[in-house]
Amino acid sequence: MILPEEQELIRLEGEQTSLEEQVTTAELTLETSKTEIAQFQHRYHQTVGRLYAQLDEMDAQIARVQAGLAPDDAAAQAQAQAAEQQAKASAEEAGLIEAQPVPPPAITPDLKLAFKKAAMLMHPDRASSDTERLRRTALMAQVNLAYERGDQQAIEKLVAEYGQDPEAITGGDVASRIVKAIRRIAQLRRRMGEVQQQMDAMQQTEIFHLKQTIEETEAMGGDPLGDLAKQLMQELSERKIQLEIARQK
Amino acid sequence: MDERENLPAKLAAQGLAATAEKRGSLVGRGLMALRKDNDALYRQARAVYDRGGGIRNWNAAKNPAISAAFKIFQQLANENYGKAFYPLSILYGGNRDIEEGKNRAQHFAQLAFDWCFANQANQDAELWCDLGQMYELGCGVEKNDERAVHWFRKAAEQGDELGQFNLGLMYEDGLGVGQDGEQAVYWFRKAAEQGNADGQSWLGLMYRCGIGVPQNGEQAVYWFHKVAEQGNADGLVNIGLLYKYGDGVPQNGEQAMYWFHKAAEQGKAVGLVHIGEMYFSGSGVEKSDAQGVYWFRKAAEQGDADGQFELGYLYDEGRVVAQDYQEAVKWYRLAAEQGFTEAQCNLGWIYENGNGVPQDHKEAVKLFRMAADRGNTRGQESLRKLGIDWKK
Repeated sequence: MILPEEQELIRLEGEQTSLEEQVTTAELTLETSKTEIAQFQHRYHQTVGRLYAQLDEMDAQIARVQAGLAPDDAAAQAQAQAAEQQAKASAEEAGLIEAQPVPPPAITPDLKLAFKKAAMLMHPDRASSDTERLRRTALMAQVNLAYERGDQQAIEKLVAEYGQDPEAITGGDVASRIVKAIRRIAQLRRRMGEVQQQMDAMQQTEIFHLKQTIEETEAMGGDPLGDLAKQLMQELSERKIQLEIARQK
Repeated sequence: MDERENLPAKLAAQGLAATAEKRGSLVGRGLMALRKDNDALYRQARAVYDRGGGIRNWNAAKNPAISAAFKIFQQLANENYGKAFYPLSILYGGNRDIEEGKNRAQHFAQLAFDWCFANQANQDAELWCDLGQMYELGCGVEKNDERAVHWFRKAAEQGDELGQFNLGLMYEDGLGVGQDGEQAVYWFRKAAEQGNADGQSWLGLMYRCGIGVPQNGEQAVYWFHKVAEQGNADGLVNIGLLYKYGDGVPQNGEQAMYWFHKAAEQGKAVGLVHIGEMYFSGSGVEKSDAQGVYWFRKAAEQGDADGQFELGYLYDEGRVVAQDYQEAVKWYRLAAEQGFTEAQCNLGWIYENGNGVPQDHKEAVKLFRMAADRGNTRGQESLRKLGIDWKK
């Protein structure tokens, strides 16, 4: 004979387990998207982004030469200044991208599995005390970093080192376990909302849209980055000629 | 440059500030450069759709190009871009990833027909072709071959290659119009000369079989070659078949093998199945069962549904190889997943009889139904034998 409260506890704990699973999956999706965006950004920069920066630098040089030729021409001076600013902004963006670590070549199913295992095991939300929460938060941050690097071994090492939550309490009477489960469910719901928000925010970014557009075209057999790069190379060589002409004036 | 120098300084500076701002971030500029309007998006997706291959049986994992086109059509349909409805309907019908694909297909078929019919005055041969196809398939409207011919002809006479090819096919099959080989050849040739691969294939076949035109092997090879030049290895398979059977050319096993191999190299593993068949029958080569099995297996391992079915059949029947239901199930299953209806039927009977696998009536019915839904009469017959009305 199962008491009504016991039944309620079973129901709540079931809900908790499935929510935990959902949160972990959502977090994995988020982390994977982040890594994939980093990979894409790297590729975009290598093929196209740096060409834009070079183009801006050329434009700045041309404008500078022209401004030097006409020191009294306010328009030429303004143009040189604007071109300089654009070149600087582009170079900064390029520098930022280049400073980032090279993302892993591919996210393997094994890597995903390792991440999932780690997240299920050591998630900060499941800590029983504030100290334990801090410890877990630090560990999860390392797991996230390892995932973004594609370093499966590092994740496995962290899992091995993790050990157990010393303060984890099992058992307890039905009433207090019900309270605990309810609290935990509320916490998980909050976390799910946060992950969802981060995901939504990410899907609003320019880089996300660019990635989507390019991948769609590539799936249909196109080479949009290659085509764009060709076009930019063409523009670059035209600028080089322009610069030479300006210098010879 | 000189012109700009003559402009008032203030104005020029403003203009410059605006350009500098417009350039934006490196990422934003890529996005601007690659942004497409709806027409361009539609054309891109439609090109994938028109290539055909697999649109009636696809899933996202195996057909990323079709999946990308599907998403674009869906996005366009959401914005009420009328021309997207028809291809979207067909792609829903062929989508193996979703359960309610048929209902969605029906929904968009209705929208497609209504939209195309309402816009028939547009000077757009593609739209007329789609209308023709909807009448031919009974998609969003009651099937009517005469109406289909009307629209195909309208498109064909405007010089549309797809209309020409489809009109040729109606003449060839005698659907909605009196069967007429010469007319079929006339329209296939029109399409073929415009580079339409289907038109070229069919024109080649007409030459190969001597329908509507005197049989002529050289002409057949010429047109099949044209298909192959477009990177479509079906053309190579067809040349191989020509030599295998000696249609309009002297029969030549070596030549046949050469073309089948070439097709296989270009990803048409069905060429290997034909090689296997040549060894089994000893036509053009020395008869060898071992060689036959070897080539069937090679085709099957390369993922060719014909090869998988043939190999499964050998194991199922214990022909040439020792009977082995496990192996039969394995290969039938792979072919069945690719929509090969004969494999679905044979696999269904293995489950129904419990040969080498636990008997599974439900699975059998599921497989028969799959085949029956795609018009396979054996699948329909099998369901009837089990006392099930396949239309329900």
